[in-house]
Amino acid sequence: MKKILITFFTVIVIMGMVIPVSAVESFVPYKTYEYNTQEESVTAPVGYLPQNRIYSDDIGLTLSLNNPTDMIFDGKDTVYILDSGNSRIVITDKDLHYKTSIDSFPSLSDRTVSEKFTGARGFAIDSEGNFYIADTDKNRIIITSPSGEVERIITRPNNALQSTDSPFDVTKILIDKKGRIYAIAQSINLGAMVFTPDGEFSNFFGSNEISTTSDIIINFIKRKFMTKKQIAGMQKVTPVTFSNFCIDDDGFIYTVTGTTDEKNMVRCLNFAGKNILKNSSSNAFGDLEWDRKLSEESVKTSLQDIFVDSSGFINLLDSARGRIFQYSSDGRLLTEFGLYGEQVGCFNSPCAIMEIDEKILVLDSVENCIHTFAPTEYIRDIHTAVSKLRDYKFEGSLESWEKILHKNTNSTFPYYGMGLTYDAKGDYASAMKYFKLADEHELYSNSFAQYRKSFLQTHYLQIIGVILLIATAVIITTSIYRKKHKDSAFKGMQRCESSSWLYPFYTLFHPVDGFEQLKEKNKGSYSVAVSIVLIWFLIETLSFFRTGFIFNVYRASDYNFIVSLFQTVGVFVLFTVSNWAISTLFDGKGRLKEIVCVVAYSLVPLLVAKAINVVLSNVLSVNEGAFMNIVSILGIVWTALILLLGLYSVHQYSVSGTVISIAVSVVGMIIIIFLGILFYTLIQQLLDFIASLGDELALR
Amino acid sequence: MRGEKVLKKKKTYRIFSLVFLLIIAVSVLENPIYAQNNNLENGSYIPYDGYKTVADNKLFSLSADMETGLFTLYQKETGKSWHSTPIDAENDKISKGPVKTNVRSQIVAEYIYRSDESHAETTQSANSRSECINSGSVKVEQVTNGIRVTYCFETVGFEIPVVYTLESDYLKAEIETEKIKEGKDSYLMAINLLPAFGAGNSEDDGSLFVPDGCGALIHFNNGVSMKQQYDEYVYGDDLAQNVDEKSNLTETIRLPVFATITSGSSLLGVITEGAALSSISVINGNGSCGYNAVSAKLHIRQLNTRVMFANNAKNKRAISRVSAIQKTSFVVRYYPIKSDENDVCSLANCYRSYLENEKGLKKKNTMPALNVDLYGSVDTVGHFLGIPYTKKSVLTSFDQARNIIEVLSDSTEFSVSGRYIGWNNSGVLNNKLPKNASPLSSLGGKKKLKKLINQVKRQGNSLSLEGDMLYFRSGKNSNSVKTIFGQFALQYDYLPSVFVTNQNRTPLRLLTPGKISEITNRFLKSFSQFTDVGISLSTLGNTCYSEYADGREKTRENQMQICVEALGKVSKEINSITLEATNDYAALYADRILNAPVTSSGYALFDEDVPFYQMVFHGYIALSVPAMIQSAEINDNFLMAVSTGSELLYTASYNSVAFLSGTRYDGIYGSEFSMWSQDAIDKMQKYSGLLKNISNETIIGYTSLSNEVFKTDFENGVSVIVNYGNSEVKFKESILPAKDYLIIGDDKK
Repeated sequence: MKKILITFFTVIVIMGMVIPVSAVESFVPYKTYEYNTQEESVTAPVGYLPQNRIYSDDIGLTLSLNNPTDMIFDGKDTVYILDSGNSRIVITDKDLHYKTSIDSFPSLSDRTVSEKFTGARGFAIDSEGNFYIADTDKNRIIITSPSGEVERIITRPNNALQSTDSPFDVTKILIDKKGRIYAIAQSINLGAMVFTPDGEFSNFFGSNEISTTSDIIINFIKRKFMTKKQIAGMQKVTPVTFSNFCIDDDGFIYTVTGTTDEKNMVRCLNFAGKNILKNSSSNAFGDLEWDRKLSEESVKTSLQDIFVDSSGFINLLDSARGRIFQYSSDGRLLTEFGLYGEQVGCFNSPCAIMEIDEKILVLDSVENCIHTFAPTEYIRDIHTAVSKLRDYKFEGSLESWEKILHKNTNSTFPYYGMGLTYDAKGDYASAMKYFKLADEHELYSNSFAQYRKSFLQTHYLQIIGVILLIATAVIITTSIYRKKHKDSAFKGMQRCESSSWLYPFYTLFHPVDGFEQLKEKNKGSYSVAVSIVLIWFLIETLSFFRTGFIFNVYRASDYNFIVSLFQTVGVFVLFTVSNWAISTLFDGKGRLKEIVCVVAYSLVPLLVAKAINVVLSNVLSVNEGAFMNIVSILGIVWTALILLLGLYSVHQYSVSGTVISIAVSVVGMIIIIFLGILFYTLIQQLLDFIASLGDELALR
Repeated sequence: MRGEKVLKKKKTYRIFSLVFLLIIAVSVLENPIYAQNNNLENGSYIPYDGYKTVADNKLFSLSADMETGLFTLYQKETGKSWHSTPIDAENDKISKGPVKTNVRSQIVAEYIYRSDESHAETTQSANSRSECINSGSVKVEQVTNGIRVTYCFETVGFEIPVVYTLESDYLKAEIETEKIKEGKDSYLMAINLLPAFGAGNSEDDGSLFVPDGCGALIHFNNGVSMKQQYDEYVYGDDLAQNVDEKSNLTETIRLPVFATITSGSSLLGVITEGAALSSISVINGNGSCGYNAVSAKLHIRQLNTRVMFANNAKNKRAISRVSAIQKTSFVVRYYPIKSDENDVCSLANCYRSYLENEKGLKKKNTMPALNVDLYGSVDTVGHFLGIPYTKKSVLTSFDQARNIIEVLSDSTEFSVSGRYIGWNNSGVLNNKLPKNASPLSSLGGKKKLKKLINQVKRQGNSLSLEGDMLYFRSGKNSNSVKTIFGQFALQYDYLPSVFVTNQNRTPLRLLTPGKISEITNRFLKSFSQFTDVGISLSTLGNTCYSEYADGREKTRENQMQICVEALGKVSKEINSITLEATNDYAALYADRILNAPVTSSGYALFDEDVPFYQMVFHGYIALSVPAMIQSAEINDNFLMAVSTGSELLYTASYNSVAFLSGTRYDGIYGSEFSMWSQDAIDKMQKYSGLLKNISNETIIGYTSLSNEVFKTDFENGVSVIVNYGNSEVKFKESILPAKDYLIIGDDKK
C-alpha cells in the first residue's frame, strides 16, 4: 500500500514539474549548414533544437491570441506580447505562464472609452514600464502608463515630413536609455524618426545608404537617352526603409533591412548614426547561395527582425525561408535554424525573435503561437569559445576550440579561433598553421611578420654568414671569369648579340637596334619565341601554386589548365595574329615571324618580374606588398616599352602609328573573342532548341 | 536473503490481489452502462438498427445493412462496436465541405478527367455516400462470412467491388482490383478504403496511431488543422521522379499499419497486400472536421508532374502525366484489440504476432554489440595540372579497422559489430554497382581483409561488408530507372540553404528492378570467397520505387517483391544480414537493423511520438539508434537508445575527415575515431550491463510519466526510466538526475 502511495505521489511530483517550454524532440526537419570560405553550404551540427509550439492554451489564455506581432522580454522575469488582433498586451512570466493582460487603454479625452490599436505592428517599454505602441493602421504612436492609461499620442510630424506625403505608418519602436523614442515608419525612408521623451520630433537617424553600384551608373546613362515618360516609369533610386531594429546593452542600435544590399542588411549604428559593425571576410548576411531560378522567381534573404543578446551574438530572422541566422559580433555565421512548414521547428509566419535564458523564441503571427528552440551542447561550446576570444581570455581557449572541432570537422571556424589563441600566446608558427587552415590571409600575414621578426632575431648570425659566403663566392667566380675573358662586360653583350638563344637579352637593353637587326639580318628564331611563351605559361602556373599564402587568392583545386593556357599562349597567339592582320591594313612592313619574335622577346621583363614576385611573396607580409607592386609595374612598363619600340622597328611606323596599331590590335583581339563567343552561344541555343523540340515531341 | 524474497513475494501478491479486486469492482459497477450502450442483452448481441448479422465467430460478430453495405463489427470481449461509418454523422455540425459526406462513406475515389491529364495538379474526389448510396447504386451480396459491396459511381462511371469478410481474429477488407471498372472520361487514381472506420466523434476520447518514423499518436480532437491532410505513402515517396527542390525532411512510414485507440478497445489496421502502392491518411477533429480517423488508401495510378522549359520565362509550364493502371491485390486487415488508453504496446504485440505467424518473423537472438560504421575509401577529386581526376582517399584501411575494433572491444569489454562501407572498388559509396566483391588494394587488399575478418571472429566481435544493390553513379543507361516522362530518375543532393539540386555533384541513379536479382547474385557469388563475415545491404530493405522505362515497367509492389526475393536468396547463403531503417517486408531477414527510426516527422498534427518500431522488433532483431556523433544532441540520442533498449552506432574514420568538408561526404563530420572513442567507451561502460540484460527482451510497456520522463517495461521485468529534462526528478525513493536514467527490477545489478 505504501508503495502504491509513493508511486502515486512521485507521479504527482513529476507531473507538477512539467514545464510547457520543453519536451523530447530530437527530430530536425531541415539540414543545418554553414558556409565555407568558398561560400558553399556545408553540413553542420544542429545549433538549436526545435522544441514545441506554445499556443494560447499552454500560456493559459481564455481569449486566444489573434495576430500577435511583437514581443519583449524585460531581461528579468516578464514577457510582453503585443496581441494586435485583440488590441491588448499579454503579460507572462519567462516560462510563458500567464500573469495578467492589459485589455483596455482608456483614452486621453474620455477615460471611459478604450483606445484600439488593431493592426499594430510593434511596441516598446521604457525603464518605468510605460508602453509605446506603434499603431500602424491609425498612423500614430500611443504612449500609455504601465497600467494602460493613455498618456500621450504622437501623430505625424508634418514639419519634418514636408518633402513627402507618405503616411506615418509606424511599425517598430525603440526607447534608448535617455528615453528618446525611435520609430520606423514603413513608407518613410529618411531613417528612423527620433522623438524627445516629450514626443517632439528631433531628427532622422541612420538612413540606409544608397548603393552606388554599376546599376545606378547604367541607369544614369540610360536616362540620357530616354524620353520623359520612360524616365517617369523608371524606379527611383532611394534608400530602403529598414525593417526592424534593436538596441544592445551598450546603447548601440542595430538595424536590419529586407534587401540583399550588403552594406545595409545589418548595421550597428553609433549615436551619430554611423555604421560600426566589424565585418569578417564576407560582408553578406543570410544565404550566400543562389537558387538558380529566373530572376523574378528567385527567393533572396529578407531580414525582418534582429535580436542582439547580452554577449553580442546577433540573431537575424529571415522571412524569405523562415530561418534564423546567428552571427558573432564580428559577423561570423555561428549557426542557422528554422524553416517554413508544419513540422516541429517550422514556422507559418514568423514575425519576432527574442532570447530567454539561452532559449530562442519565435513569435508566429498566423499560427498564433510561440516556437521555442533550445541550444545544443555544440552551440554552447561555440558561445563559450567565442566569448573567451572576444574578452581576450585565452585560458583554456584551445581546449574549447578543440571540443568544437571534435563535433564539427567540416568547419574552419575552430582553426580561426585556435590561430588567434596561438597568436596571442606568441606561438606564431602554430598560429600561421591554423590561419592557413582557416583561410585567413591577413591574420596569417600578421603572424608571419612576427614569426619572421623573431626568426631574424635568433638567426641573424647565420643569415649574415650565408650572405657573406654567397658574396665571396660571387666575387671569386667573377674575378676568375674576368681573368679568363678580358673585357667580359662588352664581350657578354656581344655574345648575346651573336647567339640566337641569348638574343632576347640583347633586345632587352638595345630594343631599337636589336629589332632592326632582327629584321635586317633575320636574327629572330621561332624556337626561341615559342620557348619564351611556354616559359610564360610555366611561370603563370608556378605563380598559381607557389605564390606565398598571404598573396595567393587561389586554391590549388581552382587551377584550370585550359584557362591558364588561354591566358598565356592564347593571348599571345591572338595578339600576334591580330597585329599581323592589322599590319596588312596599316601598311606595316613586319612579317609574321618578326611580329612573333618582337612580342615574345618583349615579354622577358614581365616574366622576370613575375618570377621575382613569386619568391618575394613567400618572404613579405601584406604591408610590404607594395614592393611586389613596384616589381610588377617595372616589368610591365619595360615590356610595354620594348613591345612599342619593337613593333615600331619591324613595321617601320611612326611612333603614333605604332601606338594606334597596338590599340587597333587589341580591338581586333576583342572582335575575335566576341565572334568566338557569338558562335558558341548560337550553337548552344541551337542545341537547346533541338532538345526542347525533342522534349515537346516526346511528351505531347 | 531468502526470507526477504518471500516477504517481497507476499507483498507483491497482496498488491496484485488488491488491484485485481479493484478491477473487478470497477467492472461490476460499470457493466450495466456497458450493456445499455452496446445492445448487449443476456449475452447476445442485437445488431444495429436494421442490420443483418452476416458473420459470427467466438470473438466478433459482423452485421451489415444489405442495402447500403454499411456494417458494424462487434467485439464480444469488450462489447465495443466498430462502425464502418460513424452512426451519428448525420447530426454532425462541425464538419464542413467534402469531409461532411466523406466521413459517411465507405469509399472515397480520387480521379482525373482524361482531358485534364497533361495539366492536372490535384485529383478530384467522389465518395460512396453521395455517389452510390444516395442514388441507390450499391450492390450488396452475401458471401461466406461476409459481404461483397460493389460501389457504382454513376457520374464518373467507376465500379469498385470490395469484399468484407470476418476471419478468426480480424475483419478482412479486400478491394477486388481485377474487377474494377473505370469510366470512359476519367482515370481512377486512388481509393480511400473505409476512411472513417471506427472514427471518434468530437466528444470521444482516444487517439489515432500513424507509423510515421518510429510512430506517432494524434489525440482525438486536438484542433490542429494542417494545410494538407496527412496522407503519406507507405515506404516513402516514389523515387522514380525528378524532384527539382527539396526543403523539409521527413521520416518515412516503414510499417504498413495504423490504428484507432480508445480506452478499452483499439482497432489496428494492417495493410497485408498492396502496401507499396498505398498511403496512410488521417482526418482529425478541428474547426472544420468533427471526426478522427485513420485509414489506408490504394493508389492504382500515379500522377507525376514536371516543369518544362524551366529557363524560359515565356514557355515555362508544368505538365503532368498519369501512369498505366497498376493492378495489385489490396487487402487490409482490421484487428480489434482489447487495450488501455494510449496503449501502443498491445498494438505492437498484435502486429508482431501477425509477422510471426504469417510472415515468419523469428527471434534472432543476435548478440548485443556496439555498432561501428567503418568508412573505407571515398572518391575525391584530385587535380593534376588543373585537370581534375578521381582519386581514392583512404579513411580507414583494413589494418586501421582492426585497430578500431580491438581498441573498442578491449576497453568496453563488449562485443563490437563493424559495418565496412566503401571497402571494395565498385561499391565505394555507390559509385558503381557492386558486381564483384574484391577489396580495394589501397586499403590493404584481400590478404589484410581476411586478416581483419579472422581477428574480428577470434575476439568475438562481428563484421559485415556493405553492398548497395540499388544505387549507382556511373554505369550503363540500360540499368537506370526512368520516370513516367522517360527521363532518367536522378537522385541529386540538394543544397541545404536554397533547396535546389546540387549540380556540382553527380547524381545517383536507381537500378532497374529487373536487374536487381542479377546484380545480387553476382555479388553473392564473389562474396563467397569470404567466410565468417556478414553482409550489409543498407538500401535493399528500405528503398521502394517504380520503373516506367518502356518494356521494363515495374510497379513499386513488383520492385518490393524482387527485393524480398533477393533478400531471401542472400539469407540462404549468409547467416548474418545487417540492414538499415528497414521496411516491414525486409525486417524478417535482418539480424540487425541500424539507424532504426527513433522519432516521427514532428508534424504539428502529432501529439506525441511512440517507439512503435522498437516495440515491434526489439527483442527479435537487434536495433540501433541513428549515428551518435551526427545526431542533434548526443546525450538525448543515448537516452533514446536506453529507453528502447537499442544499441549505439558510431561512424568511424581512422584518418582525419576534415578534407571532406564541402564534398558529398561531409555528412560524416566528426567521425574521426580518436575524437569520439572516449565518449563511446564511457557510454558503453555505463550501458553494457543493462543492454546485455534487455537486448533480447520485448518491450511490454511504454508510458510517459511527464513530458520529459518516460518509463519502458521489458518482458523480463526490468524497467528503465529515462529523464530527458534538464532538472532532476524524484521517482519512488530514488533521485533521477537530469539527462540520466534509472533501472528498476534488474536483479543482476
